[in-house]
Amino acid sequence: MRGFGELEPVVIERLWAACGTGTVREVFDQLCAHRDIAYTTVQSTIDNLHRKGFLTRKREGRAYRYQTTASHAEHSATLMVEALNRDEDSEAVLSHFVGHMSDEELTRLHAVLGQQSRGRRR
Amino acid sequence: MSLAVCLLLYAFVIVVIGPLLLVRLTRGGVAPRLGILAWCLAIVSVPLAWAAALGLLITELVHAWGQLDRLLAGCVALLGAAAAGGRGPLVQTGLLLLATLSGLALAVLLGRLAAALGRARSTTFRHADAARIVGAPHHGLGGTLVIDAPERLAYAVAGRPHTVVITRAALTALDPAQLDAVLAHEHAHLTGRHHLLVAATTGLATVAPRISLFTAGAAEIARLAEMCADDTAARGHGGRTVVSAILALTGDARLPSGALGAATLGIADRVERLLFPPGLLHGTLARLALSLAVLAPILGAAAMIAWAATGGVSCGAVLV
Repeated sequence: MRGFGELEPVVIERLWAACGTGTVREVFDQLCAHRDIAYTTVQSTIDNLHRKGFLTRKREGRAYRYQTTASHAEHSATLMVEALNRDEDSEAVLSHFVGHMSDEELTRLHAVLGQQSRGRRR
Repeated sequence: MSLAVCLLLYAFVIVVIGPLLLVRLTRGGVAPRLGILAWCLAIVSVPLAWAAALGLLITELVHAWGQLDRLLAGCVALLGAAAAGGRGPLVQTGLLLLATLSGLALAVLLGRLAAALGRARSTTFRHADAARIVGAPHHGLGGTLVIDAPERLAYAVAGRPHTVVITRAALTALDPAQLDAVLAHEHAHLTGRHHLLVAATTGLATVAPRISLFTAGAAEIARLAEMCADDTAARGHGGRTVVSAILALTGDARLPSGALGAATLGIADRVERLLFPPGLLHGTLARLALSLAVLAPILGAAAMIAWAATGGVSCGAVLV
């Protein structure tokens, strides 16, 4: 789906690269060197990121100066906390490929693999 | 009223016997789609039977207002004794109160379920959105995002758009064939809308945790969904590749024991059914038994609807 959503990772990456701070003008200047993009598009994207809590802002003259709320690594870690269900309040429905096995499961798994290596079917 | 009693008895039987029977039938994962269907029908039929019984009871109370003692004497011998003589209006009020409270209880249950589902949806979508902003798109694999993290994780998350997330550590642990199998498995979850199934059954289990049909059903349906996704991945990349991918990502000591829900349960079962698919006889018998389990609630409902349609709904028909 084309839309501002596609630019969000690009814009926040720019801000992280600039020590976590920037104005719409600064980000736009950096981006339009590499791609065909409108100032209002950058502004809307930054607005969205602010609304979603990824950025805070302070008035600087007639514009705002935006600040990232956490580093890239911190955001990744937060995602992992939720993915690992360590966050008690999280009710996200994620379909994991595998999880951590209990000792009983491990024993059973070894038994199954042992049968396979002996070439025997149950 | 006898139909209402039958519906309640039916619900009682399913709640008690259902989990015992279905766990046994679906343990091996012979036909996981059929297994999921059997569980879903059993789980859905119970609240429907409750609601239908409640509706019938209220309808009969309204129709038989003032003549309730005759109604009870005709249909339910036990209650007939209590309705005899001047206790008529008291029993009437009591039954109406019971019906109203049951209706309220059902409404509260449904309300809490709706709230739980709403929270699950918004949390899941927010996670997918954050992963899209924070993660890096994987080259050549549309819709897959890579997160820099030391834990070996690969998971599917519904959102706008649906996404598969894999950590850098997991990418390192898998060879190209295994990676393809893992991604095929995760995309199968998204195409099959398993997140909706798991969210609904888990929500129901949270809202009514004392009923093992719901709690066991939620766990078993999640397990069977993993097996469905395994089958899809095995069709495209071979069962052995899926097994080796499972083994490559398991045993990460960093992962908390018991976390990650269904992916933690039945790993040995998943590996076993991929390495040793059931023989023709065993597979056919299991499919037959599951088909019967699927048909039972459908036939039961059809029988009751037929009974209701032919006017056998209430003894109140005698009064009219």
